[in-house]
Parts: sequence; structure tokens; C-alpha cells
Amino acid sequence: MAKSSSGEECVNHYGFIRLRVAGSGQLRPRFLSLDEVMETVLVPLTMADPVYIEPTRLSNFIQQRAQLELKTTAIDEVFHCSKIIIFAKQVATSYPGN
Amino acid sequence: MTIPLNGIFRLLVTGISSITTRASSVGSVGWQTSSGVSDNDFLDAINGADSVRYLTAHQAMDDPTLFFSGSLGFRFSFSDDCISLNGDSPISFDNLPAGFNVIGASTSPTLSAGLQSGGNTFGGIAIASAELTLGTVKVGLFYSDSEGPSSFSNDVGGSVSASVPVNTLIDYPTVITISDLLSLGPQFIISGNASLINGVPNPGFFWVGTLSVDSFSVVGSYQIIQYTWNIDAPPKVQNGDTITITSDGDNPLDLDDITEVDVQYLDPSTQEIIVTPITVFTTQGPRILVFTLDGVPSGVPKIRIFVKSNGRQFSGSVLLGELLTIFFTDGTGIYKLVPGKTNDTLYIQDVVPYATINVKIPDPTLKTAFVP
Repeated sequence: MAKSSSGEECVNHYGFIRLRVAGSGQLRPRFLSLDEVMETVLVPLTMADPVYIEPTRLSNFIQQRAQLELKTTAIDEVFHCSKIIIFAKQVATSYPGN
Repeated sequence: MTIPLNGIFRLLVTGISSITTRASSVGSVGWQTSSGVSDNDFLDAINGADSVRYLTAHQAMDDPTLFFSGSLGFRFSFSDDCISLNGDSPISFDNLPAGFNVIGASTSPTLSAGLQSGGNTFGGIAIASAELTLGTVKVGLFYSDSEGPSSFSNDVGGSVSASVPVNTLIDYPTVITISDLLSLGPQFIISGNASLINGVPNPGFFWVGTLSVDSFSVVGSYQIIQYTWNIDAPPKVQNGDTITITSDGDNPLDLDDITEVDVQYLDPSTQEIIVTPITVFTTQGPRILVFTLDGVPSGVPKIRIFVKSNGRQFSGSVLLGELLTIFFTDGTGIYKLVPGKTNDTLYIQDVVPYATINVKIPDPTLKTAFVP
């Protein structure tokens, strides 16, 4: 897993996410950088209720910090998210880091 | 049904608005239908091959200087399914294909006038003539014989008639349009004239004059014309917005012919299609038509714009485009929280009893903290 940025600065690659989510409609994941300057839109998830898998979506987002957004955009779409796993790996550090 | 871009149309008479008569100039019997002809019989006849006869009777024509004349007028009406395209089943005016355009049309009624005698020797001349008028415009005047009036003489107990098909080109579209025919109907007048010549006064003589019509229909050719339309309106419209229609291209539509703009929408409470006509325009010219949107209630997400014309260039109701609307300001929100509700509900205040419409909650969103 990526090192925490507390106390040091590093750049991480956010490779994919895995969710425990149920609902109906299209769930639209998106990675956002600090201040939402950069973004990458992931392939939407078609939700079913109930589900027995935790779906995964790939991404290719390299930033110092990242924020994951999940949303629906159509009427009567609903989702319940109980677990989010974000897979990230440190790819660079900044001087005078380790 | 696929309708060819060019073809033949036939306008069928579907009713008789009125029958006017001018009685014989002599005699007292007047015009009457033969054998109790009903309106339906008459319609069958003029749309088919049969003939309908009107007659007048006169007796004691014992003066050789007497002159007989009389006329009959039929005003036809066209309604419901009255237009047949290429021999297909008749359809109504409103169901004509978009871009329906009349190139030319003609009518060829077969008319006849005659005299039938009884009694003693007589002589006479019969002339049949007919007029086809629309409103106050006379579009045709025909005689039974182009070479001269039919005549007969010195006959006893015989008959004679003058009958000839007449054919005229109805001047479309400058004089008559399809919508004119539908709204006014043609006034179709048969007149007959007869006089005695070289007759011998004889009180025992009598004659019967007849006027008849065999058929009447308007047959012509049409084409389907496609025009380019442009509609300019705000991305989302509401009552009071200005909407502009323009036409251009090589064969632009003359927007002066537009008589009505129909705003069509789905009633949010009853789910019925409602059509609100707009007939007053801010600007109307050959290439531009400007009107103000009006009559659209709250809660209608989108409207469709149809236009109708005077029938000179096209007929029927043509879809111009679809516009999105905004929700008007009297919508209010949910009054109570409902667990698991997946939309917002707006109450429409100008509909009694109060109607509601469901709208989406603005993009429900979850955001994590910054990671890692």
C-alpha cells in the first residue's frame, strides 16, 4: 500500500477500486486531485440489488492526493455503499523524502 | 402506408350543404327531385357513375314566344375522409402527408338539360349550361354543345336532351386552395334554358324540362415538397419567451402562409396530449415568423411545436421541433420526508385538484476524504 503522506510527500498511482455497493442505476466513479484540478472518470457500474460480488474498476490516476467520488445522475437511481477499497502504490517521493 | 412523392388525388364530395333553386320562369310546379332522391342517393351518384335528375314540369305552353329558364345550385361539402391519394382509401385533410402540395386540378361534371313533350306539335330549343363557383369566384362556365344549342322541332310526344361532359382546369393555387374547398365547398349551378320557336299555339301541349348531374369530383396531381425549417428559441423556454421560425434554401417555404402554430404537450396530471393553438404572431413575413410562447402550464418538461398553413404550399399539421421547458416558479418541494424515496416531488399549484410531478434529486454524490 502507498505510504501515508503525513509527514512526508510522495506521488501515488491509484490503480483500481473495489466497492461493496448495492442499488439501482448507473454508479459513476471519478478520481479527483487536490482542489479538483485533475480528474479521471472510471467506467460506470451497473448496480443490482442484491449483489454477491464486489465489483472492481481500473483507473490510471497519478497524483499526490486523490479523492474518490461516487454519484448517480438519473431520477430514481439509488445506491448504498458499505465498503470502498482504493488500491494505490507509491511511485515517487520528493526530496528530502526517503 | 408509403405515399409517393408525386401522384394523383381525388376529392370526394361527402355532403350537400345546401340546394338552391330558381324556379322555371313560367309555370308553377318548380324544381323537384325525381323519384324521391335522398341526399345519400345524390352523394352516391356524384361520387359514382349514376345520375341524379331534378325536373320541373310545365303545362299549357301555348304561346310560341314563351321562354323557359331555371337553375339549380348545389353547394357541396367536404369533411372527414374526403381525399383519395392514388386510388387508396380516402383520408381526411388533417391526415394528408406533410408537404402535400397541389400542382393542378380539374373537375369534369357531366351535365344535361332536356325537354320532353307531350300533346301536340311543338318546336323548341334547349340549352344546358353550368357554372362552377367558389364563394364569389366563378371558375367555369360551360355549355351543353360547343357548336351551338341543341334544337328540336316538329316532334310529337318525343324528347331531346343536350348532354356533354365539361372539363375545366381549376386554377390552383391562386384562386382555389384545398382548404378553400373544404371550408366553402364549390357552388355548382346547373341552369337550363328552352324556348319555343315556330311553334303553333295549342292549349293541349305540355312539356317537362329536366336538369341532371351525373358526377362531380375534383381530380388533380400533387407532389410532396420538403422544406427546410429553422427554429430559434432559448435552450429552455417558458411562457413569454420569443420563438423565431425562419425558412431558407433553394425552395424556401413562404411563412406568410402559416396560419396557426400549435403547442403540444403532455398534461402532467392527466397524461393526455393537449394542443394549444397560437394564431397571433409578433412578426410574420415570407422568411420569418415570430411568436410568443403562451398557454403552457407548470410541470411540462417539454413541448412540441407544430405549424399549419392555409394549404397553398402544404397541408396538414407539420412537426417543427421539440423544445425543453423550465419548471415554472409555483412548484414547491416535498412536505414530508419519506424513507427510501428516490426522487423529489413538486406540487403544481395551478392544477386543481393539486397534481404532483416527480423530479430527480440533484445528483446524489458520495466523496471520500483524500487518500492516502
